[in-house]
Formats: sequence, structure tokens, C-alpha cells
Amino acid sequence: MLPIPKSDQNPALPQFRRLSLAGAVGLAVIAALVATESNSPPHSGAAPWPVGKDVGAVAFDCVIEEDAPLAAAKTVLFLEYAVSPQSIAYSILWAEPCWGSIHFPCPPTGTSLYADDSRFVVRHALNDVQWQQSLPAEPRGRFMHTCGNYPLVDARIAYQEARGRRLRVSDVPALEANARCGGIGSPLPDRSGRPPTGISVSGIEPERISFTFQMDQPTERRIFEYGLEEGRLKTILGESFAVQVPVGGFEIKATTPEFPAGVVIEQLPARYHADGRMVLVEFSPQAIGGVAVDLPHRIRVGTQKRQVGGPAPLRRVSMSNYRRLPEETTAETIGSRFTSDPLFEREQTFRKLTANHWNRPVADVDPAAAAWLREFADDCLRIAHDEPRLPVKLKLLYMAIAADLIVGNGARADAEGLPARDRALREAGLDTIADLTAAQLAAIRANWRRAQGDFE
Amino acid sequence: MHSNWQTALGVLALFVVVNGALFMLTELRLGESFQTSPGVEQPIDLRTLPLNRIGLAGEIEAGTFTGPSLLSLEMRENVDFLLTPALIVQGAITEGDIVTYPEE
Repeated sequence: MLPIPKSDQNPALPQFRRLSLAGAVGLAVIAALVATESNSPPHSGAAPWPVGKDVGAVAFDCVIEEDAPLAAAKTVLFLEYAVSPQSIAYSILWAEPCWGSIHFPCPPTGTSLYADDSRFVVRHALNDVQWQQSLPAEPRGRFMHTCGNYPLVDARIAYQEARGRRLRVSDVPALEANARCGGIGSPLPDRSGRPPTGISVSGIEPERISFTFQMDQPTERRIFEYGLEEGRLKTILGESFAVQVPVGGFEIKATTPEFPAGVVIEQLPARYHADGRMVLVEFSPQAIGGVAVDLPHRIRVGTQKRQVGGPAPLRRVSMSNYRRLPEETTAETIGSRFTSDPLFEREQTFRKLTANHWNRPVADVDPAAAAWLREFADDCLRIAHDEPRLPVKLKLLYMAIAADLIVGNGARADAEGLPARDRALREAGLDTIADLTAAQLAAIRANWRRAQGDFE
Repeated sequence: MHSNWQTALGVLALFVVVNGALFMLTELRLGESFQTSPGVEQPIDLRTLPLNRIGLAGEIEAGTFTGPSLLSLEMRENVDFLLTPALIVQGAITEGDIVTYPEE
């Protein structure tokens, strides 16, 4: 059996799995008796389910800090999202650590994604490539081993599953009837793309609604709880965990017995969270186009060991600067997010020159290239000084530092670019990344000096 | 009397022939092992195998997860998670939707 995650720091989270079977049955019987006795649903017609409001298309800025436990990689992605009731889109504006490898299937910066009811489009502006797929009609099924990689366009399956599992106001009568029956699981009505899913509502109270999704994978269960305050959505607390290990779920191929490898595991369960996952989404009221709507401003994802309230959860997400979009974003507009930037052409030139000259003695740098890089570094520093957007500022400073180092102007990088970058990261609370990238660059420069002499 | 280059050429030719033969033998042997012949395959009960034979499945069963295959799941989770902020917001700005966590 898997270790079952605990949520000691979140006492409000329901702990159904700790109840004995007898206790659960007893509660169900009591709840059913109470419901029958009163002959009226609790909070009938006034159950505070958090329901969305149409405020048009919105955009927001997002910083996602990820700490992948298996890859032992810390990553920060800076994104801009554009969302409407019909579509979602994001652009990855910048990613840290910028001097080392990043735990992502491709260079994150320049990646954009657009998805609506029929299309799923992924584009990488810097590499000028695009993938477009229709949405899958079937559930994912078993997830195949991908050698540690995962094509971004495969996220369309997760997108489709999430859409299919979405709850609507029209589901509320069934959910409340479910609660009156003591929270015994019942299947959600079929929807396009929805994997078979059951739901049981265990409690509807003015300040709290608790329910459980039972997924198509019999090994998993997800518990959610809304925290409400005077009818407003304050938090979504969620926990997913494996119920049992599906030994029968693995397809095993036997090979000839003389080979010690013996067993080849071809497939993994479609979904597996080794240590369970806990999520906490915090909402606050935002005014969009004159309408107040509860929108998330922070998401934290943790595990049993790395709790959402602790210092090092798996993910920390901050969402800010909500604003209304005058027009709905399209695949084309999100895809041209980078190419329409005034600096885009110069950035492309910078990348080519950097690829050719990085880690080479100053004397080997072509004079014309050196002159171009000096001017570019000057401009980047100047623009970065007044740039309010953190990801853009970090990118400009990165380019200024790299250009300065290539042309042998390491003294200015040490005096201006690096301190400004360090300050920007720490002011944003990204001290870990500031330390990590400073160490990475120091190591790169030390190797550079050792290999080719101190030529900066 | 052979010149040095003729000797070197001879040694090189011998090296190529021996390595080629070894390579072919190895390929044949490995090919046998990965052929999927229905007559050879037999279901294996993991519970009857020692832990070091069952590898990843054993690690998962034992609750110790070190198999490289899990890196695929971790990468998938990281990538799919990028949809999460958008999907939560989409639920909140869509009339008639109940806001839920999208369970990436």
C-alpha cells in the first residue's frame, strides 16, 4: 500500500480515508435519516456553490515556482495568461535559472499555447515552429513512458479531461440530492470528452462545501473543500491520493529467462502521484469591468512531506494584475506575442551571436559583432532600468550581462547588470533563484577563465 | 618485408572483421530477447519475484520511487499544470460554471 498523505497543517481538510468503514456507513445512515426526517434539503435553493460570473475576457500575470523532486530542479516561469469563457492562452515570457538547464521539455521562453473548444495550438516563437491539434475524443488511457520528456501539445488531453469534469449550475440539484443521500457516490452525467467520474458530496454548509471525485482510475481519489465567507469564495482546498497500487494495472511482458532484465514494464498508470498532492487555491475579489468577481491570487501545491503551508511546497503560483481584455485572444494574437515585440529582431541577432561567441576568448570575437553587442548591452541596461515588468527586466539584464561578458566587459557586468538582476529577483521574493543563478554564472566564468585564460 | 603502413592496414582490417562479427552476434542475441513471440510470453506474478527483479513496479509497490520512468510523469505534471491557473480563472468568469480545481 502507498503511504497515505496526511494534512496535519490543514485540519479543515476532510479525512475520509481515516474513517473506518463502520463509521462511514454509520454517518451515511444518520445523514440519510436526518434528510428523510426533515423532508427538505439542507440550505435548499441557497447552497453557496461558487458560480462564475461573465466578465468577458481577462488577462493576468503569473509566476510559477516549481521544485521538481525527482529531477531535483528548481524552475521559475513567468507567464502572461489570457482567458475568456471560450478559450485559454498563455505565453511564457521568461524562465529562470537562465544560466543553466531548465526542467521543461523545450526552452520555455517564447512558448505560447492557445486552446478553445476545438483547437489546441502550441507555438515556439524563437524557434518559429507551431503544432496544432484537434481535441481528443477519448480519455488518455494509460500514460506511456516518455523518457522524461512530454510534448507540450499532449497537454491537450489534460485540457479535455478538465473541461469534461467541469461542474455546471445544472449539476447542483443532483449534487445536493447526492448530499441528502449521505454522500454516496454517483456518476456525473456524460459529457463530451469526460472520463467516467463519480462524485459524492459529503457536506453543504454556509461556510464549507466538501465533495469527492472518484476518477476513472480506481487507484485515485480527490477530495475538495470550498472555504466560503459571507457567500464569497475564499479557498479551494484539495487533496488527491492513491488508494491502492494497481499491480494488475501494469502490463508486463516476459522475456527469455536467461536475460536478467526479465521484466519489461511497458506502461505506467495514467495518473500517479507518488506522495499524493495537496492544493490550496486562495481567492480575492477583483473588479473586472466594474463587476466584482472572486479570482485566484495564489495557488500552492504540496505533498505529505512538503506541505502547502510549509517553506518548500512543490509549486507556488502567484497571479496578479488582472485586467479586462478589449478583445478575445486568438491563437494568432497569442502566437505573435513575441514576434510583434520591437526588440524581437535584435533578440534573434543576439542569440545567434551569443551562440557563436559564448565561452570564447575576447580576441576571437569578430569586431563587428563586438561593436553590435556593446551597443545592444548599452540599450538593454538602459531599457531595463525603467522596465516595470519583472520578466522583461530579467531578460534585458540577462542579455546585457551576456553581451558584456562576451566583449570582455565583465567589470560592467559585475558593477551594473548582475547587482540589478540580483536585486530584482530578491525584491520579488525569488532568493533561491538569485542564489542559484549567481552560483551557476560564477561556475561558468571560472571554467571560462581556466580554459582560455583570464581574458575578460 | 612489409612496410609499416601495410602492417597497420592489416591490423585495422582484422579489427574491423572481429568487431563486425561480435556486433552481429550481439544483435542476434538481443534481437531474440526483444522479439514478441506469443508462444514465449508468459504472465509474471510480481508477488513471486524478488524486489530486484521487478524493478520499477517493485519500487512503486514498496513506496520507494526512484525509477527513471517516473521522471516522465513528473515532467507531464509540470507541463499540464500550466493549464491550471487558466482553467480556474475560466471557471470563475464563465456564467453558470461552478469554480473547481481542474486536477491537472
